[in-house]
Amino acid sequence: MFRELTFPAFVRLSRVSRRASRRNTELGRMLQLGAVICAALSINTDITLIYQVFALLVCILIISRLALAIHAPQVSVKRYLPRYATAHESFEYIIEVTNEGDRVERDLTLTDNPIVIAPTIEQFRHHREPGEESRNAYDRWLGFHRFIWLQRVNTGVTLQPTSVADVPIKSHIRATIEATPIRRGVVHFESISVLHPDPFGLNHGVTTLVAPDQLLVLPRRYPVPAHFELPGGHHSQPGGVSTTWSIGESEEFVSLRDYRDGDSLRKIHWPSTARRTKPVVKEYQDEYLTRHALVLDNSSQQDEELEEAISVAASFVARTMHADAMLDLIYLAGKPEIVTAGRGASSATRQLETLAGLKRTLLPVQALSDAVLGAAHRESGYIVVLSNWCEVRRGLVETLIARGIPVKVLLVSSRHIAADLPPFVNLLTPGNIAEGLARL
Amino acid sequence: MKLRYLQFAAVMLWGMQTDLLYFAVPMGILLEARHFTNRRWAFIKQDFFRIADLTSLTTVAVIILLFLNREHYHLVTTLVGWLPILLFPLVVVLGFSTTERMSLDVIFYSLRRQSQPVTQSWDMNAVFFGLCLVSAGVNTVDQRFYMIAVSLLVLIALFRSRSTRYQRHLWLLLACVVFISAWFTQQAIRIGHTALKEQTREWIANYIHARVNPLKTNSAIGSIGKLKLSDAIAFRVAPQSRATFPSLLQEATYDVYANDNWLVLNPGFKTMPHADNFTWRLAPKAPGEHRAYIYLTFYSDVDIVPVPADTTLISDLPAMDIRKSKYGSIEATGMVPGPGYRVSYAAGDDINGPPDSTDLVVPPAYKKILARVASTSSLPATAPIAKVRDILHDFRYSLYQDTPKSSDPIAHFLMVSKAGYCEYFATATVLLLRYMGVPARYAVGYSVQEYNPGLGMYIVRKRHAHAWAIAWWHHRWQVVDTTPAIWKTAESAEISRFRPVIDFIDNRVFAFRLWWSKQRLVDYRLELYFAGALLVLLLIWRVATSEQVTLDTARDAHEMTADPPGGDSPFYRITRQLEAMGLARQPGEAFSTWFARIDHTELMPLLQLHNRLRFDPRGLGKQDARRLTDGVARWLQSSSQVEV
Repeated sequence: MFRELTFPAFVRLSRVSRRASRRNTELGRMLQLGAVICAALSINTDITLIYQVFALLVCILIISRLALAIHAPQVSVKRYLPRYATAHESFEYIIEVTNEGDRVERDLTLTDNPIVIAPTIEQFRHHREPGEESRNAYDRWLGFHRFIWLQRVNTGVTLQPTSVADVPIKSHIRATIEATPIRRGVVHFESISVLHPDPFGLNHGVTTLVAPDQLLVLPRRYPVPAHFELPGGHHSQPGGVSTTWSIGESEEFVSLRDYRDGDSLRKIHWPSTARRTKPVVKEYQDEYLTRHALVLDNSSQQDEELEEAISVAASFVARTMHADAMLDLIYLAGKPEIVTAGRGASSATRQLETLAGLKRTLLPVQALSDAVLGAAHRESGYIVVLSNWCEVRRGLVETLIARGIPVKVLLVSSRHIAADLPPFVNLLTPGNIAEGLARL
Repeated sequence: MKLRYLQFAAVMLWGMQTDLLYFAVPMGILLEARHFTNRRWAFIKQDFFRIADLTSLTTVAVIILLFLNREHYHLVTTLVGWLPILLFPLVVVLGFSTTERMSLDVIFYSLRRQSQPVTQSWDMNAVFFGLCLVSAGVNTVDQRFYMIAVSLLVLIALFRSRSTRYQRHLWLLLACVVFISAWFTQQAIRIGHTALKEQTREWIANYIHARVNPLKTNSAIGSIGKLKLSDAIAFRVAPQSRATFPSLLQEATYDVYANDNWLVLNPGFKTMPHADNFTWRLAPKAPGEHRAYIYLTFYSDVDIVPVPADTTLISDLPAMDIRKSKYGSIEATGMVPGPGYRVSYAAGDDINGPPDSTDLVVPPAYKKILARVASTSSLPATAPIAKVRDILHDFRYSLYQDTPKSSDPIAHFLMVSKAGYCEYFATATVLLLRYMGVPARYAVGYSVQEYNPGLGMYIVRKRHAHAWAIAWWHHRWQVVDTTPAIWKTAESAEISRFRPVIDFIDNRVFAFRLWWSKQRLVDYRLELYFAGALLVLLLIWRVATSEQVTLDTARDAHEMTADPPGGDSPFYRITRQLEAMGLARQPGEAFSTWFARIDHTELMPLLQLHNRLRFDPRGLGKQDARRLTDGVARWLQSSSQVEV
């Protein structure tokens, strides 16, 4: 009941607080606080003169606010976002400010505006702010810090306002914004605000210019040791890999033959077809190449474990990005999905994009096990990133081992201890993932 | 904020306004000294924590000290006045450290525990600057000087950090508007507060019963239900001896009864002359005067002082003046909180003025009732006081009243219920006496009845507030208290079970404060010197053992960025002109790119000469130097013509 009452107030309060922090400079906030303190101390004008300071501060604050109407900036802005960013890694991008007015624009500040997404009350109830236990009892009871943290996570990025150098008349200048994504996925931007100070430097006038855009934030990636070798060697790929373009051992085709039902259209040899007036296809030599599978168990109910498991998977995708091998990323969405990269099939970037948007699956882990075993005949080796350890998962790994397929098992969990796990399982603890990977 | 010299000025203003100049001068000099030296101590955060903790402890100690001495000081304003001294160690240490801003976890202890790093910080120099200005305002002398000085300092500080977006004359115009509007605003606040205070004084008297109004009683006559009385201790009375303690302390008397209240239409207040500092003689010194000290702290600057009716002298009263009405009210003005006051009193003297015709007025509506009531006593009319006592002898004391709304409460008391509390008895007594031709008045005050052996004083509780009649008989006022004596025990039966505990604590705190108020600083001189020396030694040790660094001086920086050859090239006149035209060069933009962007490629030949002047080790020959100078002059001339 208490939460239902306070939660809408949190939403409003955070909105007001955000606007106030943007509209007031630090000096302005100090003067406002000073005015409040002076008001409290000025109750009896017989015993102090502090009411005079109060009068002065109030007049300064009011007149400075009114003076914002003088010389409002006349500018246009354009944002240049990078194609990708990585969660928890700061990056910079450019906003171009063009002076559309007839006077030099000085002392401007830019703030970019991502769409702020307030948490739902369910989200508020089911999540704890990291380090919340170290907050004082009142803050823990009230939960406003948790609300702000969730709102920041939902929004997805923290941005620093940046000051803009003087913009000459009919000219433009580029300002650099520093941003830090705090989660993977898509971050939406809605507008850019141009702030100009009042003559006393206490308030900011805010000119908000609509500039919708979006940024894909890839999962955080940890360094995988240089000496780490993906398990397994070359493996026969019957009929070669038709999508291969330039990398690999078997670019050659063996001969030409007539088209048979079921042949891929991509195998048609068009010059011969034209000459012989009937379809002729290229026949490839069976190819030997390395094809790995990266299995991601995205069924964890723990947010931190899920995120870390995705980060570990992304780390291996990034590691194999330039390798002469193929990588199948296997995970569960509405159904088991496989995204293949390498040797022209697709790029590892596509797999990272997939991981950026990946959500927790509701399917049973058995579905993942079936998909993995179904594709086992063509894989040279497996990297299995799990977020829990149970009979189904154990069965999957032991089946792969029994078939003689090299498997590297990584369990991302804070609920297990290494002593309770089979020796082939590498335990990675959230918060210490990089150290765990370094030991591989 | 750029506060060089301003902080010194603010500290001086504070010192002058609060008479603490001997603190302010060294503080100001020390703060400004950091601008003249580049020696800094490499304090770490833990050092700041320690100093902040020390500041907090000192502040708490000062608050306790002020609380214990609240009779002598106004707690909040005194604390605000001292805050610059309390905060100074933190500010000066910050000033001589390698950091410029104070992280908030230094100031707020609760933030030190949280796991997230604290990113917010305060510009403590600005905070201290503001604090000095505010603290200077706790003294009400030099109102105009204070307003002008504060406005000047604040506006200069704001001028220094103004935005380059606006022209100087516009800023100055706005500053003038601010000052003028602030001047009128503060005047309006002062006038408004004075008017509001006058309005609320009456309201408070009527609704909160916080103060006796010498013009009108706040009686509960006519109220229905049980009268709620507080057990809280109102004040304490320490008589010279128990045998001569004043049993009644009078606050006011009244002579007109109307609408269930007693009034005074013409109080006739007169300011009493001072006999000495904080001493007023109300009557000539009489033989056999008794004395009592009344431990009552006044928190209002104007209040009624309860005294025995036969008071001859009031001393040690922390007031500017006292006024006495002809109805025996002593009103003190310009009061500050103090421990109490001393009264001398002697039988035979009286602060109540002689009776007049009003003291015989009986409202016509009561005459029939009074006649019927008076006939119930067989005592002769020649002994009116005894007759009234006899009439009211069988009346009961009761805190509960259920007077019907339609009937008069006093008539109901006299004819029907025959039960009431002191206000009923006193009112009935006055009306009966007047009916019998005896001038009488209604008096209010306190009954002194509860002796506390532990303290050796009488305790007067709020429920001991009492009303009685005074009658002019045999050429002097006599107290006629007809309230049954049982009222004292009846009311103490209502006492809360926690009251003894609360009283015990209250009395112990009072006893401690009494002891504390008798302590003098000079008695502890040796201990203070020892503690001070210890602290100074500790400070010297800490400072001497702290790591010190030397900051880059402005001179070093200047040497590093000293103009290379050609720094005085006339070409810079062109760049300045272009910037003035609003065609400023962007950061990192090469001159050639700049000129191309703003369509001034005609400057390229001059740029080549300029570059040679700056970077060619052989320099620029005299001829080329002249070409450059002439070219610049020509361009500037043509540029100004184009502009015109």
